[in-house]
Amino acid sequence: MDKSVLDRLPGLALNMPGGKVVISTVDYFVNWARKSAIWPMTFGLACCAIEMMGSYASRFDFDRFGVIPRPTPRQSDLMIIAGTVVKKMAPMIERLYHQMPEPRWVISMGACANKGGPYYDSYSVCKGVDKIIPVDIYIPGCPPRPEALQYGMLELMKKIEKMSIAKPPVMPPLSRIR
Amino acid sequence: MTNSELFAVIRTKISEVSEIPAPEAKAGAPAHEGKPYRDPYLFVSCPAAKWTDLSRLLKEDPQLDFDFLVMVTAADYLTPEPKMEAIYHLYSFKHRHKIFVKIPLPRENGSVASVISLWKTADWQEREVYDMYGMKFSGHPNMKRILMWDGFPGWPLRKDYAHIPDRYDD
Repeated sequence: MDKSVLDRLPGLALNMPGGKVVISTVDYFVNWARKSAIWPMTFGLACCAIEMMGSYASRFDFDRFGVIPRPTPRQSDLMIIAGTVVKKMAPMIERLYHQMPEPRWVISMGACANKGGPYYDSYSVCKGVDKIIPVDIYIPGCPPRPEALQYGMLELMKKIEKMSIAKPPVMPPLSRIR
Repeated sequence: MTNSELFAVIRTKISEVSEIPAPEAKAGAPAHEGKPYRDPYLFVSCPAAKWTDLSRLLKEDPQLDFDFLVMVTAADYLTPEPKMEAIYHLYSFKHRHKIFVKIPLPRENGSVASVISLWKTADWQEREVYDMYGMKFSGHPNMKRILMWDGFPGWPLRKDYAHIPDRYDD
């Protein structure tokens, strides 16, 4: 076995004595695979989506984290709620979330998606996207810089590393679309 | 054409139209550095029954020739007396003059003639005013909500609007 793999994964990859076999935990490799290719849905709601697009583009280059936007929820692992969630859009967001295969994650990006933001007293804005779907990472800011979104993505990767296939996350049932 | 000349042309054709003078600055209000208290455009008030005639005159009279509908909006007043106003902002690219027309309406079941046959851009704007204030535009071919969803309770930009919390609120 290449020695560099053992150096890079101390405590997780072990060389069998006298053999060319690497031993690790299933959790580690599954989580490593999941966190290394987080595919978010191409999905933007308001001005935060501009910062999200900037994150994807060449200056900040989300591709180096293995983050590639996908055009459909069926191929996506992650939903970045980038912008104001209005009540008219909320049932569609819930439906798109349930169209994503498990395991799936949600990043709430910006003040509006977190808690309504400057539209907290409005008649038309949902007071946080966690009213309709569970959220993994909250990113403050109005809008957050691309660095903040990428930091949030790194925090999500840390969260994925702690997952275990023995204890799958409990997903909420689909509520009645109103 | 100055504002007074503009108003004189309108007044000779439709005598019910009255000019709204610029409001006096309140006592103690900051001086606007020599600027007038309101933009020096012509503001006129037109009764709802005469709005069809007035809109056609404004569009088709060669002296007036308002060929561009800048904006349709509305205002809601509870004081001094409860009333609503539909507000049309018109501009003439040919003559470079503009006008605000205010149409006073009752707060409940107010109705004003749609100008969609004269200015097609009135379509969505009148629907938005209906959506936010609840005043009807008679003659509009598609008078339904445009921003809020069907079944939304109330008219959000009215002064006495009371929000009913739903599952998306705290």
